[in-house]
Amino acid sequence: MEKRPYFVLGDLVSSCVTGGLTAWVVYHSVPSKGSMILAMAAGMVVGMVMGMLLTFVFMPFFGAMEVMLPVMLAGKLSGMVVGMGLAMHGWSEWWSGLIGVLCGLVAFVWTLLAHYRVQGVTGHDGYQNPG
Amino acid sequence: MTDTKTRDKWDRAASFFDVSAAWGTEKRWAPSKKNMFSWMDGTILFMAAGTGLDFPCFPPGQRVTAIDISPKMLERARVRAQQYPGHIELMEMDARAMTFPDGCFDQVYTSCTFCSVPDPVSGLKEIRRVLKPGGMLRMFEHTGSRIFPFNLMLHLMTPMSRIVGPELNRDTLGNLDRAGFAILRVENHFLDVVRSIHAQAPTHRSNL
Repeated sequence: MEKRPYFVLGDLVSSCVTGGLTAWVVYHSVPSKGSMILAMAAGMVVGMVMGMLLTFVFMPFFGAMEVMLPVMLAGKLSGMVVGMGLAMHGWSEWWSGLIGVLCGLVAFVWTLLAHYRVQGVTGHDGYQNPG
Repeated sequence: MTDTKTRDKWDRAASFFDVSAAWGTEKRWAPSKKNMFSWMDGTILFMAAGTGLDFPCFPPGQRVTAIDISPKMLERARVRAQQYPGHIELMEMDARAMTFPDGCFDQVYTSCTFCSVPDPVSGLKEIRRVLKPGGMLRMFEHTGSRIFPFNLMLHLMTPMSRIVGPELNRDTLGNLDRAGFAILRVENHFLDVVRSIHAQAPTHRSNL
């Protein structure tokens, strides 16, 4: 498990920034009046695109798959939730942004918990690494 | 025969490879890679050397044969090979059609290789051929995932990622099994995606 503060903080920041920025883009691009399902789907598409773009921004600093997967998840989650919120409740720009950041936090924790579930070594006993 | 399509793809990638596999990625993976490479001993083959980003993770004093399909990648790897405190011989070669005789290496190492080799099972069988009976294959690879939603995301992104470089949803453990390796140990470094895999070639050559 990654314990170096630079990378842990990097993972957290990249997910939250992606969630927040996606929410902002969704707020300004997805119509707030209309079908909730369509708004969710449109938000998810925007989130996927944002996730992909921001992956390339954060990867050089914080890692490859370790950045790509939570950032993509944050983008999709934020896009869907904010799209839905806009259609159903007409969320404000600031509220959408805050919810987006929270979606990023959820993506970060989700990835962390999934990682904890499968971390470690599988293999036969007595296999010692000399290094 | 060299796969020219794959060679051209990686020749094109050579100019931006060090940027895409940049500081963050290498810094993040370095401890796990160093740990895996610490097993180096005997006659060693390193597959898909790329621009030589992994060479600083090798323990000093080893004699390593490193191959890559792309001459442009090898051009860039040459500088890093010269800086290594040991000996690295670079050779242009396709992982699926190596010119080495049977059973000439004690160990084979890969680092993010089998996300990119077309027809990975044939590549792994070729590694099995050049390994001595019972020889070790140690891999640092990113693979597909079994965990939702990461598995879905990796499947969705693979058609795009394969245009410029690797596939993200490879079943490398399954491929090792299909190529006849015994998987001894798997270490998950990030989810079940970034992992070190230690596998052993069969001790008898008869079933190759």
